[in-house]
Amino acid sequence: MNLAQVLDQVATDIDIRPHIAAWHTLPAQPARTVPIPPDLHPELARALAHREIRSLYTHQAEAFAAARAGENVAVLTPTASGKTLCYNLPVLDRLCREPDARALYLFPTKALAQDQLAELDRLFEAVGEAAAAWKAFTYDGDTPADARAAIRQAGHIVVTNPDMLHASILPLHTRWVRLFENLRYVVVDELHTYRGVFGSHVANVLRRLRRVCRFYGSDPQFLAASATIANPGELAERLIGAPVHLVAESGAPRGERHIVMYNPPVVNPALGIRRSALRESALWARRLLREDIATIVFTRSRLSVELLLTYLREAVGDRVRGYRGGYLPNERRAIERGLRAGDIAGVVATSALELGIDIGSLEAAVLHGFPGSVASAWQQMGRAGRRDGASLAVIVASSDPYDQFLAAHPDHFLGQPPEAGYVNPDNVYVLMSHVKCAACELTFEDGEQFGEAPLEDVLGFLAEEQVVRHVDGRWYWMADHFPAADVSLRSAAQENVVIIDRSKGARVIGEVDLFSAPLLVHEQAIYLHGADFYQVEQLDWPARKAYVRPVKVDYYTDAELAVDLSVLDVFRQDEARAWGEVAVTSKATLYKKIKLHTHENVGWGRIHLPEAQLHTTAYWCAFPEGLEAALGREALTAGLAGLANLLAGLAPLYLLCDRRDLHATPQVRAPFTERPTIYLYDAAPGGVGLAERLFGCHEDLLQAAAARIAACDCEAGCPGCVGAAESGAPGSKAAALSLLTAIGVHAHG
Amino acid sequence: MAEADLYRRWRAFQAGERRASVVQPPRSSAPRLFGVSVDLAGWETVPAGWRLLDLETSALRGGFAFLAGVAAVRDGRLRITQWVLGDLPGEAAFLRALADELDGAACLITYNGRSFDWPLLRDRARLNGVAPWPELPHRDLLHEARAVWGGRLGRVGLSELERTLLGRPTRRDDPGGAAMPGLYRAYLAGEAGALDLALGHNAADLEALAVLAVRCRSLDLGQLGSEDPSDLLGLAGWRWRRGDRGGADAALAAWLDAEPTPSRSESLRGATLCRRLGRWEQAATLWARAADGPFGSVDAAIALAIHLERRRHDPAAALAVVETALARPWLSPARRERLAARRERLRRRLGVRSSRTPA
Repeated sequence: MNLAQVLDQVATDIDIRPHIAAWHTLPAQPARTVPIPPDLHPELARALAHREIRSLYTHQAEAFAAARAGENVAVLTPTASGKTLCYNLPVLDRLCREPDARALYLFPTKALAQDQLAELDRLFEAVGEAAAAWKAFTYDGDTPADARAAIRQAGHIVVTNPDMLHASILPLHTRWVRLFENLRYVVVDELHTYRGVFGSHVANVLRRLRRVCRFYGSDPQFLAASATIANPGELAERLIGAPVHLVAESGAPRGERHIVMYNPPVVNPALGIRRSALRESALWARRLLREDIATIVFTRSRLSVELLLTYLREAVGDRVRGYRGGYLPNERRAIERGLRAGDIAGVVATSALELGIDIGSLEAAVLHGFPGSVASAWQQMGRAGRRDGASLAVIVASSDPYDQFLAAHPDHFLGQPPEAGYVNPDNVYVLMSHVKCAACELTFEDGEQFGEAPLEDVLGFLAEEQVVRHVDGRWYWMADHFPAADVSLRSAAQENVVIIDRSKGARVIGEVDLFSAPLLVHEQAIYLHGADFYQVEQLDWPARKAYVRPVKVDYYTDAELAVDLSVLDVFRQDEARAWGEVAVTSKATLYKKIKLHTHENVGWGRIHLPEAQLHTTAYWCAFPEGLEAALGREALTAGLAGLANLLAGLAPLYLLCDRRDLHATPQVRAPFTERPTIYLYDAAPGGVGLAERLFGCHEDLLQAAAARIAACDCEAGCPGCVGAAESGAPGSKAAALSLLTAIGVHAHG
Repeated sequence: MAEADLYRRWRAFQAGERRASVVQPPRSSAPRLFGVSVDLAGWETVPAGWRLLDLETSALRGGFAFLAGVAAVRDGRLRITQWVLGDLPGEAAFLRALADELDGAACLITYNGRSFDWPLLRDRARLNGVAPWPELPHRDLLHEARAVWGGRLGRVGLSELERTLLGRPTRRDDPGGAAMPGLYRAYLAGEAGALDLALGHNAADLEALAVLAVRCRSLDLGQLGSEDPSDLLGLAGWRWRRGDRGGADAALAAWLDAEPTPSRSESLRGATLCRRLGRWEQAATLWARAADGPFGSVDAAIALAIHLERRRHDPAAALAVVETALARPWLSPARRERLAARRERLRRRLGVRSSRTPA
């Protein structure tokens, strides 16, 4: 059966049809093309013809024309719409005309940089002789020292990441004279990943880049590309610090797309328990894979990738592969190649595959549960979608309240705009680090601009700190350290625990990030990798190594994390709010053994590992003591959780940060305040000032929360107000309102 | 949280608090020139065009140079000239003065200058628009010191060599290299005496470098007699790597004369050099020495077996060496396999010979 026949069958199957909450069809869209622009360099036009490209999609032509006219360009494109030509055409056109020109490509990850290098090499090959002298290189932490000198001199296109630009290229700019003197284009792909605190850092790195370019007499144009996001033009302008020509209309063709929202049947009406979404997702994938329909299954955790993979392997054999963080780069590359070539029929993935990694286009996507954000849902569904022919995306609702709400109100999702990306480059905590780096790179002059930043103030302060010296109208770096080495653009540690198979002479089979390691590779844990079962024999925590051995078992393990928050210092406080320093400790405590297929609990054990500690800054808001008696403990718990979630969801609007930059912890009776309390804290170690600003906008924030709840027409809480909380138990909406009322916050009107 | 303190001070700053104590007086930016001259024995052997260079910098990993000392011979004495960056705006003038001094030098002599001082100056020159920066022949004594004396002495930092190799008295009142960045900031803040400490340290480093340069020069001139025998082997290796075949052979010959009882690892290194320089019989003696005993080197045994088989055409002797090596119980499986293969080949070869010449 082909996909159309499968769809017909599903539509009429009396076991499936009743559980389809919504079936939405997006009509096919024909290609909108224009002839190859006459001002494209003839060598390049010939290369395109060589690759059978005889016209351009309208968005590619628009991007090319804007770039030729000297504008900065941001392209908003769906998956598989020929995005890379939007920036590769202007860059290569320039190289044809100006053989010494240079371009810098920025990707958020090394894997994407590698992908792009392969694409550039294919294009160079198509251009042929004219491109013989062109050289493109990746430049990242893996680049060998002896290759670096050659790349600095000879690389026409240097493909790197913002971290490397920040820590290595800009601080050593005198070694990159050729690049900076001749830099014409800076390509910023996957723009939507640069939001929140990370984006604010990147915006400052780009300010430093522009400043160094000015020193060497160049003024590069920026070419950006973004996946679905509500405000791509605005985000690009904030990041680049200059006006941008937004190309938002895609001319790429699209086949008909079916979006099916599937809610698993109720098996216990009394308790409202539905069939497991994991097993239902596996059934959908099996149904498609058995008909040789190329399918991708998205799920939320690494563990569920492995479980789904195990179940699918049993049904359809090893043409299904897993893909998640923690697989080694070679293994991932092999899977990507297999998918493009069609050797692999299906893949089970986490959002690690969401970013623009090229795996060709698949016919069907199955989403096990609704992903965290609307933009993310569209990206995952976009993985299924071909230029011609139909495609299918199935969202299998889990029992989470959020999923259940969407199953009941499917239009809520389909009509909702994707999230916006915010950055705040002038957040002084972020800014100060980069002013230091910039001062070390090049002396500041009085009156110099650094974006919109309050530069004189920061420099004046740094002079008092004796890290810069103000003489004769200039600010000189004089400290004895290298500031870029002290600043990390990403708040999460990049450190990993490597997983070593002892049965095969100590072979490394995978890795896991430091934060997740206590949960996934504690001693006695079952570690699944590509649906193979291993047991952890020893976790050498100081050495960051987990030793495993293959086992045959019929269970997997699932560990629990206990999180605690304690207040270390109070910076400011009044009746309603406080701001201070906190320690957030997390410790893996015990694990459960869970039987495959039935998911019964068949045993447990303790985990003995040191706790992890995060010192950061927090804002908190305490509620009157008597509420527990008035509302009941259950409702109070639900209300606090709902309100905490709503506050954390609203805060990015006020702070221009990302939802991920803040964590929320409600405590029914907080040890520090001895009252019900909601803590919102900076996710970055040490904090980046978000808590301080929350303290400042406390009233506006609570007011907005009250208004949001009052304006929401749901009954008991929904994702639009308090509902996405873990314990979005009934009554959370009413209880959240009571909490607000108790501290005198009322919705106006 | 050090960062929290920083931001606490930032908030105070924003609230208008100023810390008057840290306001720094501007100083004249012009480069300041200092000179010292020192009597130094043996300096007459050193070419007049040599310029010894040592920098003091604002940060241990780089930053900018605030003090540059250059030593050269003038009227038979070691003359040390030092430039100090008067204040930060004067960096371009400071670099130009230094470039003028060095321009035309026959050879630049530094200690770790190839990877530190010289690239740093080149970067700072580029940053300050001082172009072109001179390109000079450069002899970085760190590399040869490590090759010649590192094996015996272990650490070869200039201050260690000064004590252990050059036998100079311990420095008094020297704040040490790590104090330099702080001393310059103290100088900018107006602290009297900070600069004198930095100048004194730099001059002492240059003196030590000069003594080392004289020592290296005497090796260049073939005066090998006063060196420790084991250092001669290091010298031979260094000269071989630099492509100086004649010099390497001279040093190797001196070592062979001076060292009747080399250690196992010295024997192995010496044998390798002898092989490269065509001293086959001496190489064989050294291999035999290195391979000797229950923990003798298997590499040496293999090299010796090859030599006996191919050069001396004596497969029986080669086989004996291989069999002795194979008798060692501690061989790794891979090693054992390779040796066994060699033994088989040698046995076959001997067997073939005996069948051709029936008794």
